[in-house]
Amino acid sequence: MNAHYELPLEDAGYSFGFLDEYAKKEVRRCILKAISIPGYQTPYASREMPMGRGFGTGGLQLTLSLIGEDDTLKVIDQGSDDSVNAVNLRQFVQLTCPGVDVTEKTQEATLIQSRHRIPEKMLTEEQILVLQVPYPDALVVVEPSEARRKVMHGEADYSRLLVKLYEDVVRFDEITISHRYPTRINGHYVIDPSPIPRWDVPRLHQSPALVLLGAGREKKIYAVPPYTVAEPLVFDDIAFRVEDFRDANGQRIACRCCGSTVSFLDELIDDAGNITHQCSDSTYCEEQQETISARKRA
Amino acid sequence: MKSEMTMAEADIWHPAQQQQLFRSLLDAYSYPGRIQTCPAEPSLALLSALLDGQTTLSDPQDLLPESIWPKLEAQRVPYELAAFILLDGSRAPQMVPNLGTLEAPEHGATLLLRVASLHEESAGALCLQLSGPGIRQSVTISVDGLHADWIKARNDWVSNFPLGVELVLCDAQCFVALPRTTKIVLGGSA
Ligand SMILES: [Zn+2]
Repeated sequence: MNAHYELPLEDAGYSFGFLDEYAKKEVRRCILKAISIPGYQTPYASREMPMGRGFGTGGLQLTLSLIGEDDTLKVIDQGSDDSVNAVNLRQFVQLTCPGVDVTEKTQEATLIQSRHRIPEKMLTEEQILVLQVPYPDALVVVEPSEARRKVMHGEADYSRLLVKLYEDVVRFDEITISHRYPTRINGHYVIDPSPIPRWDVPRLHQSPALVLLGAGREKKIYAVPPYTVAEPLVFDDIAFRVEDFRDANGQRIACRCCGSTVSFLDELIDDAGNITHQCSDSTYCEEQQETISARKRA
Repeated sequence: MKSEMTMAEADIWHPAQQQQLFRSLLDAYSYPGRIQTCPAEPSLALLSALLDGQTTLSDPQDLLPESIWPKLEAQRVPYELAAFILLDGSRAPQMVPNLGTLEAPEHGATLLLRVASLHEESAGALCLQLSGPGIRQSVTISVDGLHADWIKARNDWVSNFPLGVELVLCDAQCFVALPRTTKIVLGGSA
């Protein structure tokens, strides 16, 4: 954060949401086009933010253009509400958006800004998920020229990307991409769905909630509208698989804290050097633990 | 729907009101076919929420009072160049708007069409059966005061995705968005 930054004041003394109203309007117009052209990386003029890019400026610009006094905001980073990044972003919004409530409970939030994860709890039509994206273009691994990538996207020409994926399959027997799995939206554009794990990719498909993705450095916004087809790129003979959390005996590994066997797990090494597993979504994990202790009390 | 508005007209020029207007628009685009109510005359309110000096507007039928233009700040341009176009939906379409390009499909225009009234289901004269992104199960809305040629022309303009236009139909109190991805079948509730 830049401590020397002064909040801009509008003529009428109205100051809300840090960005000036012109910057918000531009992002808002861009969001509507992004929804209308699902998966298309819609360009916008990114404003300087009082924090380095890479700290989620793309996501933050989306959030600040969306948010109003009636909103309740949740910010997560790597599944956690308590990481330094999440805390900083949340405090920045609280400082610049008086009246906005914040929460850690997924179901209470109207706006969720996240990096690396989609919350375990199913989102609803009353919620908007904003994902921060470091690298928006799935074609960058096969085509260095942005001008040519734009044509390929427009024509929905992903043959070279598929060849690249297939080379992976031949070499490693499965698609090795763990994060940022290329995903086709509404049968046309292929997106880089931000660094979410494969685990989260199926949750973009037919989501009741709008999902907006923002890349601050690349100045792009793209969207997965609600109730829209989102398909990970696959081949006929190799199915898409989410991460496998089974141990050597084929047993599903449980979270060491809450015992869940249905959540996405982070691998941790404890003090004794043993590998343990824990829910990546910390709010989900805490709620599972509360449910268990409530059941014990009853 | 021409019943008198009972509430005071909202101040559509205030940033807080514009944020709320934008969120209604966001809902309208996210869930095409869901009719949104507006605290002020919708076509002007939505223009106020979206426009500034960076954008272009065409008003070929002079629907806007001259005094509004400075407040909207938008650049006045001919129809075929405009990012936003305001039109009377009861009159048949005359010209092809900007449909964008393969490399920049976002340049496809947004058309605000004033109509007499919007209805959920099939009470109005022109029935539109809608499906596509944002619509879980196909829905039918109906419209009074929309020339049927609009839907035919629009379906033609969006037939070469990602090129296309967005339509926002506005009556006196409500609006509905029809992004280029929405499949519109005329006349059908079947
Ligand atoms: Zn857990």
